[in-house]
Amino acid sequence: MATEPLKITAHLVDGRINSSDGLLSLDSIIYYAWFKRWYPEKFLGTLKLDDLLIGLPLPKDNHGLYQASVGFYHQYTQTTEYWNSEPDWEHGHIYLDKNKGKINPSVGVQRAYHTAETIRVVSDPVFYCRGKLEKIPQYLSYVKTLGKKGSVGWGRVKSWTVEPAAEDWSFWSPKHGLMRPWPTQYQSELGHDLTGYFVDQTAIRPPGWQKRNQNLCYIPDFIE
Amino acid sequence: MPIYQFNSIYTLKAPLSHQAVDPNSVVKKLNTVTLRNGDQIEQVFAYSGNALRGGWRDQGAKYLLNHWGHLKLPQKAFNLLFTGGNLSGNQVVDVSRAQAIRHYFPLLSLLGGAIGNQILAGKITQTFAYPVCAETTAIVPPNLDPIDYQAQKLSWRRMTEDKQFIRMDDSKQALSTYLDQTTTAKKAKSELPAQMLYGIEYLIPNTQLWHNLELDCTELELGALVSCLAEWAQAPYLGGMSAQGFGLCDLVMLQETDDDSQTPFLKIVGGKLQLAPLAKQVKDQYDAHLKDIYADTDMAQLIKLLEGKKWQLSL
Repeated sequence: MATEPLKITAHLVDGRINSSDGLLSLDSIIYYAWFKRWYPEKFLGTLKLDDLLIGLPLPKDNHGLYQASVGFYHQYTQTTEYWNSEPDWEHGHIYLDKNKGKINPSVGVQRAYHTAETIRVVSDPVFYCRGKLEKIPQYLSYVKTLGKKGSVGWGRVKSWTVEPAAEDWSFWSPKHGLMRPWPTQYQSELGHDLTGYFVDQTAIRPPGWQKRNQNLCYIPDFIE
Repeated sequence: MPIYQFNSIYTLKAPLSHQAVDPNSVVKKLNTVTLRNGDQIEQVFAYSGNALRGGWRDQGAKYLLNHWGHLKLPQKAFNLLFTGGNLSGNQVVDVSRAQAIRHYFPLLSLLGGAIGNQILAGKITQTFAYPVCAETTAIVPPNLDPIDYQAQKLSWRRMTEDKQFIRMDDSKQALSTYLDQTTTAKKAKSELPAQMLYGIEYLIPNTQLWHNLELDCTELELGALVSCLAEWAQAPYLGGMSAQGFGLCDLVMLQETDDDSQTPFLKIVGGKLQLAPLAKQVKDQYDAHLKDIYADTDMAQLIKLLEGKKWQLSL
């Protein structure tokens, strides 16, 4: 099945995303969805996979970069919110096996949390890629949240829209310029001037947490 | 695994106190978030999803331990069951422990946790609970029967009040006759008064909160969620200060089906729990599961499993 240029929009419930760097990479989103679809046990921790051929419905360039942009959005504001976690020792003490002793919630394994998160209030993020129009929506249906801590209530996605696009904007577009993190070592191969773009160490392919997938990159101006 | 989607409507029967952490303020203000309502940016009260999940966890843990003969736990296992635990050390993947936890503790499997140095992902995604008001018109879905949409004509700011509380220094009042003479003499000299004035902002009764929850889970895990709500129904309070008469509410939980229609799933009205057939069925399954485990399993091994220690259980 042939791939074609696509425009993808994530429609958020309340526009709030928990993300410190703000980068929402479509290839990472599809990577997550691929595992959700084919190996959900991986997320449950009940399956260990040592050797696996992963076939995302996105083509790669000759450096192994997926033809998929990051999310572009208008950022209205950025705030700090907190989540707390502390056992209810007082009401729950009847379930403790000891009737005496002290519990210190300030340090150690029983410590209480009051944790700050960076919350961005944004328009619906728009992504661009080359992909299969029939396949991409199937994968996106597994993606319910964007950013961190969807289980707490941030980044909830109401629906996805996938539509054909006139041009392929997965790497570069006349509207936004650079569309995805681009390794500095491949600067000349993009065919566009990258002077002035912020440079930082970031993931060039999923899974982004693995050191071997991180590189010094030009970062797109993804906030409109 | 089936996906269950729920719209919940909480109707406040008493004022709701859910404050932002602000130690410098004399009047504790309601927790607000900045959000996008359609194209408008608004600052609105929100009941944190983390607070809801934390409440379910507490209630579900109580339900579980009560069904296991009021089982007593060591601190570490208690912390895991009641709060989700803390990570200690480098992360590992212990497949057999994850399988065992998910089998023996559907509640933990649903809500997630950190066992020793392993993260066990939960299976819920949700929104915060937002008031039905002018600032959330594009967020709260239309056509949910239990919602009074007239409230969308009003700003949530019209749904709040401030209240001052006084804690009297009883030693200076009529009750001082119960103090011994030495204490009375000392107090008369120099002691600072133990009197206190403090205030809170609260959400007024009859305000409605909308919440959306999605579960990608088994029927047994759905039963664990129902068990949390069944336990909560015995004292259906949200937020703090329930001892001062705050937080009482009713809950109507609707299940969203594939054709976007809403069918009743669970109701807590006037403290009475009503379960629709699916909710009853999954709760019965969960109860039977707990009963079987209690009858057939070595509880000491289950506790070791929770503590991240060596364990021996069959799956």
